[in-house]
Amino acid sequence: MKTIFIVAKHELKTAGRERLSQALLLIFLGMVLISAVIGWAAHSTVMNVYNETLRQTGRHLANPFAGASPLDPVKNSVIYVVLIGALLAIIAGVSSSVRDRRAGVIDILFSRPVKIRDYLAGKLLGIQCWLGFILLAAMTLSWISVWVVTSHKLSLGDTVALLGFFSLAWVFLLPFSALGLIAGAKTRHEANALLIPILFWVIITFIIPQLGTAENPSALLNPVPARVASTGLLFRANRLLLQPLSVTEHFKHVSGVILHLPDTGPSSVLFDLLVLALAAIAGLAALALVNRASLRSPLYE
Amino acid sequence: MKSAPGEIFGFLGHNGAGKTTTVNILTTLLEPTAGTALVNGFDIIKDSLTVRRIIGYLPENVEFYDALTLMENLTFFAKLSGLSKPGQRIREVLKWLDFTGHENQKLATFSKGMRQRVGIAQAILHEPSLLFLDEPTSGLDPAGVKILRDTVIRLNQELGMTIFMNTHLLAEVTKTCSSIGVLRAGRLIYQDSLARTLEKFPSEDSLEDIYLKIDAQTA
Repeated sequence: MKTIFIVAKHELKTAGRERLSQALLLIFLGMVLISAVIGWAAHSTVMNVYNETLRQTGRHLANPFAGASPLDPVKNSVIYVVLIGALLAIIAGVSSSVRDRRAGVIDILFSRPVKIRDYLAGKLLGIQCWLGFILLAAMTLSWISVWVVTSHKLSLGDTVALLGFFSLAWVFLLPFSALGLIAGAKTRHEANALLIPILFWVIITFIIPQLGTAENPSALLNPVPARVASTGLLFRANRLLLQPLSVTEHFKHVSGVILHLPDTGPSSVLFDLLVLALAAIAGLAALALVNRASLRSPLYE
Repeated sequence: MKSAPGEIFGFLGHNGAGKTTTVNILTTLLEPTAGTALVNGFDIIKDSLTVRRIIGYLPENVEFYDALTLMENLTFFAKLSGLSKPGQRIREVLKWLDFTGHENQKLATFSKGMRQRVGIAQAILHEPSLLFLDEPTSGLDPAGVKILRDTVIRLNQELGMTIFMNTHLLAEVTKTCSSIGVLRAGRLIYQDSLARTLEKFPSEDSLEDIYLKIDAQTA
């Protein structure tokens, strides 16, 4: 257990010194800030139009933001976690294992009384702490941005909801960190170490959800509010076998529910959480299969 | 093959003979496909963690975290070796190695010779009784070779460490080792003390000639 914390602390220190990690942190926080600015601009524009309409017509009209969730301005963060956050987790994971292999310290490390599982667990813990720090900073920025945009501080309940969303994001990113670590530990070429997990991410983030859209072709053609599931073996097989693999869609759905966003779709939150938990467990299980031999193997640029 | 406590054992052989593989097995980095080995009486497979606690290891191409300082690098390895507050011990070792003044320097600025001394420092922080050195003079300039040779002798004489050294620099073996073993295609073909080896081959001028003769006899 002690080794895990030693490795995790070391991971935080080395990752914090790397320009790539620093750049990713800035990009993620920058996007959260930009999201706040966009939210503020959109909110101001709509409210200006609304106020001007009220002034000119003198009629009472419903406030366009009356039914909106106080957390509506941070809805873009859900997409940022799926897009930038997952990539950030993958890059952090890959950098972590590649750093040790490139530095040539693996043999020294494992000539010490260090178990491979403790080493990998420490690495993952370090990366997750780093991501946790980034998410905490993003949450703080989001909280402030909502305050600025709406001129109202978030209530305790909404703050808890925001915390719930970022905690879920932390769990969602875990399999991506693990995937990055595995790829960095097992591949022979640095380029592949990054390409393979990114390909995996593209599949579960874009390709599988696209197949899901194809399941509801009527929704693509006209604005039918209720989703009409297509029948047929292919669609059923897709729904049963592929859709559960779309971890990002399940994350987006639960996040929508947590942030009280509209149109979160009909899927079950319990099932979504189960998929996310299974993805995290699968990531940990796959990481446990990494052995010393692959870490010790040569790494080519 | 058997190496006695307190000696400096020179492990010789051609490139590809299996010297590094043998050291990797003895340091528990590799599992043997067959056979057994004991380090200080501990089985390298069953008691691998115990073996790692009592050995130090300097690989051939020693590298560290370039973005971290000397102190940060050594602190990490010291903690992995079980030292909870290693600052004092690190300073002692660096002083013993006459390598002070670089504690807060990043490793990226270190030369090959300096890295080799950092490698020695990390290997002896936890006061191992047995030290494995894999081609320790590889890539060093003559001054670096001399510093390393003197350090190896001091480790043995002042700290009483048993040293197992892979090398094919026979001149260094003559100056440092008390016994030698010769490996050929994964098999030990010769082992004896250096003094007896020199007595056995009186007609040969140097250890290099003796080595070549042993190799030719068993070819």
